[in-house]
Amino acid sequence: MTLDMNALFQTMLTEATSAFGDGWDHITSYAPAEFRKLAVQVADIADNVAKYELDPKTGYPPATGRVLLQMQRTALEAVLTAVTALTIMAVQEAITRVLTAIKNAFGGVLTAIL
Amino acid sequence: MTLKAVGRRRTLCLLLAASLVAACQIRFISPYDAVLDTGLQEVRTSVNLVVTDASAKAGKAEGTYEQFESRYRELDARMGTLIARAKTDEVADLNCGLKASYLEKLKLQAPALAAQMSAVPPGATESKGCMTRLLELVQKQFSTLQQLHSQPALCAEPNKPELTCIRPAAAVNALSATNQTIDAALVVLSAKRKGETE
Repeated sequence: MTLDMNALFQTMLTEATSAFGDGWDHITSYAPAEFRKLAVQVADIADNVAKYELDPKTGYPPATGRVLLQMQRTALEAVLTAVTALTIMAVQEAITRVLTAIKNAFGGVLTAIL
Repeated sequence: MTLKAVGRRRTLCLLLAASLVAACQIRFISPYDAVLDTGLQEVRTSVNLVVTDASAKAGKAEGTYEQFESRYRELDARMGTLIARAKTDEVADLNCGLKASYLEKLKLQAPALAAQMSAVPPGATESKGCMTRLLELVQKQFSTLQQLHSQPALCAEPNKPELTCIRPAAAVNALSATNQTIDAALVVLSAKRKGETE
C-alpha cells in the first residue's frame, strides 16, 4: 500500500487555505477599521490643541495633546498585538485541521507503514 | 550518506509524522478564559464611569484627582489580578512580542505614532503571551489616565493653576484610546471563544 503524495498535498492545501482563510478574514476586517479610528483620533487631538490656542476654555493645551498621543500609540500597539494573536490562532487552526484531514484520509496507511 | 543512514532518517521522519498525525492538536496559544473575558468587560465599564464622572466635574473641587484616587487604585488592583491570571494561562504560549523588523517598517510609515513603541529584540529572554501583553497595555493606559488627571498643567483651568482635572475634550480622546486597547484584548478573547465552540 503506498501513500498518494498528490492526494496528500491537495488535502493539506485545501484544509490550510480554508482554515487560514477564515482566520485571515477576521484579521483583514478588524485591523483596517481600528487604524481608521486611530487616524480620526490623532486628527482630533491636533484640532483640540488648535482650539485651545484660540480660546483656553476650549480644547486642551499641547502638553495634554502629547499625553493623549502617547495613549494613541499604546492603542496602536494593542491593535498590532491583537493581530499577532489572531494570526497565531489562524496558524494553529490551520495546522490542526491539516493534521486531522491527514489522519482521517491516510491514518490507516501511516499505521501500516509503521 | 550510506543507505543505512538514509533508511534511519526516513524512519525518523515517518515516526515524527505519525506522532503529529496521532496528536492532531497543536497548541501555540492558550484557550479561552471566561474569567478574563468577564473581568475585562467589567473593568471597561468601570473605567468609562470614572473618566466620564471626572470630566463632568472638571473645573470643580469634586472633579480633582484626589477625589478619584481610590477608584484608580481599585482599577489598578483589578488589572493586576487579570494580568496574573493571564500569565498563568500563557505559561506555554508562543512569545507575542512585536518583531523588530515590523516595528522598523512602522517607524518609516508613521514615525510619530511608532516612536515610543516597544519591540522584543532578537535574542531577548523576556517571553510573554499575547493576552499578558494586551492586559499590560491596558494597565499602561490606566497609568497614563492618572497622569492626565493628576497634573495641573494638563488641566490648565483658567485662573486655577493648581487645580487637577480631566478636561471634557481630553476625556473623549483618552476614553477612545483606552477602550480601543481594552477592545483589542476582548477581540482576541472573542476569537478564542468562537474557535472553541465551532
